[in-house]
Amino acid sequence: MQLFSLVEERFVAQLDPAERAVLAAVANEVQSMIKGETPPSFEVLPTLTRLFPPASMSDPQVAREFVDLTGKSMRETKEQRLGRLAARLSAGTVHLDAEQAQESVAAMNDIRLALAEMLGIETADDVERVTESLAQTDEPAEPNDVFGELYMVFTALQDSLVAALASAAP
Amino acid sequence: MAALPAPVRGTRAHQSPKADMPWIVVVWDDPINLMSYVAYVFQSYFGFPRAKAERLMLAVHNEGRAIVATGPRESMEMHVEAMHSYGLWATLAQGEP
Repeated sequence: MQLFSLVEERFVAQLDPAERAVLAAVANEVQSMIKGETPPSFEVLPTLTRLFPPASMSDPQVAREFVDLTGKSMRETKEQRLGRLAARLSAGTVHLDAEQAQESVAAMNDIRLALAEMLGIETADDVERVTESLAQTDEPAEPNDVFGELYMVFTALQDSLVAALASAAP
Repeated sequence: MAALPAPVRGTRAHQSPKADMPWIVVVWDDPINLMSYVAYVFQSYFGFPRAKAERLMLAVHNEGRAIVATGPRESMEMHVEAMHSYGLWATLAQGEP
């Protein structure tokens, strides 16, 4: 894998065939979860609370009115851009213009938020726990190791795209 | 140039007793969002200069939260909607933080 860099005003990354398939599948899986479909390997549908957080923690009415106002379009936006990200990741060379890069970086963030929920990441210590547990595993055997690996890969990809976007900013 | 009227976004079920106090948007720290990404969001969405975006990002990171906008409820709801779209954890409140 070659992480994102800015090449002649385009945001370019290279993925190996195996990486493409896996990363696109994860994007599609999170997309399905937003549609309310429980992935085959799951017993229950993840809550995706961090993708759709309450707009108020102290005033339930404010939170409810916000969901009435934005809930439907927010789900559609996130779901559709994950579909487009999956398609882009399926290509050998990921080649994005500025607008595509901007929505892809947000879609990758949603994937990381969803994976973090599955990994039970709620504090900085949890992130460390996941990182350390991966360092001790040669072959990911547990589902959590696989999610952990994917979390790290999407973190690296997103980080490189943020850096490329920042370097392109006026 | 004439200002366009603000879009009507539904009626409110109740009026708070703090009715004329401004609303605030608070962004909360979380262990998942990258610091570079949070600064990028502040810079690209709010149009803050890089130094201000970084300062706000560090306030979120070090103090656990930061107020990123103040104003009428409708505008603040739009900002919270944008923050959630980016995947940042933002909330809305009226009056003093």
